[in-house]
Amino acid sequence: MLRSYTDGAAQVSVTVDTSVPRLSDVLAALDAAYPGMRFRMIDEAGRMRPHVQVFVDARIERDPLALVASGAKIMIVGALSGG
Amino acid sequence: MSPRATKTRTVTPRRVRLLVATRKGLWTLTSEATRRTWKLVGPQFLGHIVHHAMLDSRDGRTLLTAARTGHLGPTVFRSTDAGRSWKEAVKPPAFTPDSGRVVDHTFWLTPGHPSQPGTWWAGTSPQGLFRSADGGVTWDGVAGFNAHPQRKAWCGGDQDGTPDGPKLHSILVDPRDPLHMYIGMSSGGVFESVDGGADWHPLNQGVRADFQPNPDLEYGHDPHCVRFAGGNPDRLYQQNHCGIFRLDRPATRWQDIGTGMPRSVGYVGFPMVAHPYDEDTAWVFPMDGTAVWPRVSSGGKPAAYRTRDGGGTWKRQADGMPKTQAWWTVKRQAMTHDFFPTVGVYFGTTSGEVWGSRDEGRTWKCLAAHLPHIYSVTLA
Repeated sequence: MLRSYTDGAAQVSVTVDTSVPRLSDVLAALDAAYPGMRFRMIDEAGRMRPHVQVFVDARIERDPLALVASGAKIMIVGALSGG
Repeated sequence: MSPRATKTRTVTPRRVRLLVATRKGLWTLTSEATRRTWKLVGPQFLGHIVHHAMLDSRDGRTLLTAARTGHLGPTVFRSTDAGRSWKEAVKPPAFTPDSGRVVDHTFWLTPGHPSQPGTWWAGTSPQGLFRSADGGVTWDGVAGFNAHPQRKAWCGGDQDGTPDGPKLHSILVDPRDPLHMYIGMSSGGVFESVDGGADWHPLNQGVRADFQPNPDLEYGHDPHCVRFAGGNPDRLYQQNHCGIFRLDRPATRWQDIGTGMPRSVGYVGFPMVAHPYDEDTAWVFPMDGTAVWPRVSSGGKPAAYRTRDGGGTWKRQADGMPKTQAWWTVKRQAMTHDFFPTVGVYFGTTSGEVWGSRDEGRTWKCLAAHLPHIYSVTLA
């Protein structure tokens, strides 16, 4: 579903211009490149939506303010559940 | 009996087009003017939960769709070519970050007044009111409601309300005055604004709230669906959790018009449809609201009920529907009408069937089947 924002691409790269990048910065950069994408993952209170899983370098991360290392690989997965 | 509405019947439309919004996507059901042969096209937004899809009746081609998926957040899609292509809203309905509230889904869409061509209104779950001034591209909260000091008292907590979340629905704009509006909330009740949404006041006198310790409340009721009477925006019909009601303005006390329903069927249901040309005619689709609220057709025998005297009496209309073992029902947005001289009435079921009547409910025919759970059926 999120690939509808990236023209089908399963993997994209974004650059964050901040010395101490956080996950929220990465998601903001994604939204700038692919408008609308962030709100599908993060609600207006700044919380990760319940069924969206984000892995930073294979570590599950639910805090948008978590620090992200330079060159980190971030995986966003829709945790499909229910009927 | 009140005077008949004066609105004239329009020339016969050339076709009927229904937008069928479901738990798994959006379909379109179209017929020529005979209303005998129907063509189902879709899905669009496959996998999305589509709560509402609405045509902008002011331009006849703009459509808005309220959608979310099970795991991604809520949004609004917009088409300016009658549904051939869609673009997502740049700024979907969302509460202000400092409110701490989160839109779970946009539930209701209403085009604004004809004098305000770009204006749309949206109601959300939990209860929030939003307005777009650019045809649905960007949305802002209506502070007069969302930040009203009484809002929390009116609505209760965001976790309260219906099993699928509390909702703001039935956004009605007076065709004579863009500043005059009504909304319904499940729960909360019916509210009125006379200043375009800057302020609101409850309008629930006479409506029962059997689920409250004090049934004679100012607010806290559970209207399921509120509609203007055809041709007469001074008359409102309401299908409520606790009955069927009618309000003739400027009065402020609703009249109980559900007492004429058969006792074995009851007065609980979700949709309410008003005849477009006759203020005294309306339809409801009752469901089993006994005990634990099974929310299925009463006794497995679905039927619409029609009044032709403003709710004084009701007539069962089930010719063509299953006579037994049909355990579906109809949600609040899933029943509508067309504008033919002899009005067509349509509804979508929780079991994924669309039914229609070409003769104002006298006979019914299944127009489409095997769709997902239907959330709304609207004329486009």
